Amino acid sequence: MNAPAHLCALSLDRLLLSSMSTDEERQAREHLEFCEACRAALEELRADQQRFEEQVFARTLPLLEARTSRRGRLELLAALLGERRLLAPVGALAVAVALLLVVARPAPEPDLRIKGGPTLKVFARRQGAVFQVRPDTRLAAGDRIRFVIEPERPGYLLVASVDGAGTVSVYFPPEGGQSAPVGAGRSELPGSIELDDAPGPERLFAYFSEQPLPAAEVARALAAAPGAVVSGVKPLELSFAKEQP
Amino acid sequence: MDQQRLAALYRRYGPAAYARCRKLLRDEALAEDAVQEVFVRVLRHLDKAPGDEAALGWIYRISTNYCLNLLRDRAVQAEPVDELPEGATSDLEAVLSDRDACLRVLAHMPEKLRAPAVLHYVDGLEQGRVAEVLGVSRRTVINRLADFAARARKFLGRSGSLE
Repeated sequence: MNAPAHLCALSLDRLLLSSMSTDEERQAREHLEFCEACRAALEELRADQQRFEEQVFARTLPLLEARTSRRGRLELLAALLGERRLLAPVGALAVAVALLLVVARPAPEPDLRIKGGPTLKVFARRQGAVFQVRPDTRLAAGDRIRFVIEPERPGYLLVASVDGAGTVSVYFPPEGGQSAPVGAGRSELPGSIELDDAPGPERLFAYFSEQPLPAAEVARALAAAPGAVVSGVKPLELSFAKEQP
Repeated sequence: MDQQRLAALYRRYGPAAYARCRKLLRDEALAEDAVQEVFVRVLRHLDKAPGDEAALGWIYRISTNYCLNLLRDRAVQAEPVDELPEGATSDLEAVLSDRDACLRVLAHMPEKLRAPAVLHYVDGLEQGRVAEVLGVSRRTVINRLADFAARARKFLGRSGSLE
């Protein structure tokens, strides 16, 4: 390799950080105009950095905060010493504080509102009739349900259910591996869900958060314990009964 | 360090640290774990670094050592040498500019030669920059690169990849 002929990795990083002098940056950009190899290296670097910003940063910051705080270090020490009981609650607290996540408790009201928090409403359609699903509502296989949310500020949402057989389904977002962004104010989530004939009550859980949650992590947590807190976020919950087919 | 400062440093330098780990490890999941390890190690230096160049120097130094150790521990050296580029080239630098080939050669080199070789051959840093990043003299870098080159030529010659 003729090192001086190309922009080194450090120069590409400095270019993306906008920390070059005017002259350095001009020379670098002139080089990039005719050097395909350096353009490719820059694009690869840019793509990696973008992935970090969009996907990795939010997920790893709370872990980093827990590890670098005094409390987090004590927590790790406790774990190493085998005091595992300490780890989960303290860890959850640290994560919750770090992310400033929306922590919502289940509420008995049909619209699942808590003071200052987001709301979730569920509507069902049966043979052309639409009605709101309440905790005492009985639904049946074939009914279609839709969700209406009203967060007070933009954030991320994941809606999942645990049916009577213990099967976890992620309803929203319909595709993708993590919570989807939602805006502030009332909105109806796209699409509807047709209930299957799984017996027993079904429990819906809506995770509102300020950072996306991995769907797989939520599904694992719900399978282990319906209503589980994930990364410090407690879900809103709505249970409804299902009539036997 | 308060959480706001940590978040600000992670937001500014995390992308570079992550990209560097991803480049060396060629694995997004490993890089995601590695960037946290690297950041824990580099945080204090970043907080005191007088500018981006110094901060990046720390990131390069620590992430290079961390990732090379990780690759070593994951038994990269077990990879067959016959996958090295064939003898079409007699140019050591051309062979080593291929990251995978370089890492396979590195697995057979003494520890102290690895970081300067990666920074020079894979990342394209000039010897002076390598010295700054590693916190050693330029003379030390020159000697280590020369040692590395001699050993690499011998190794690649044996494996039929270099005349």
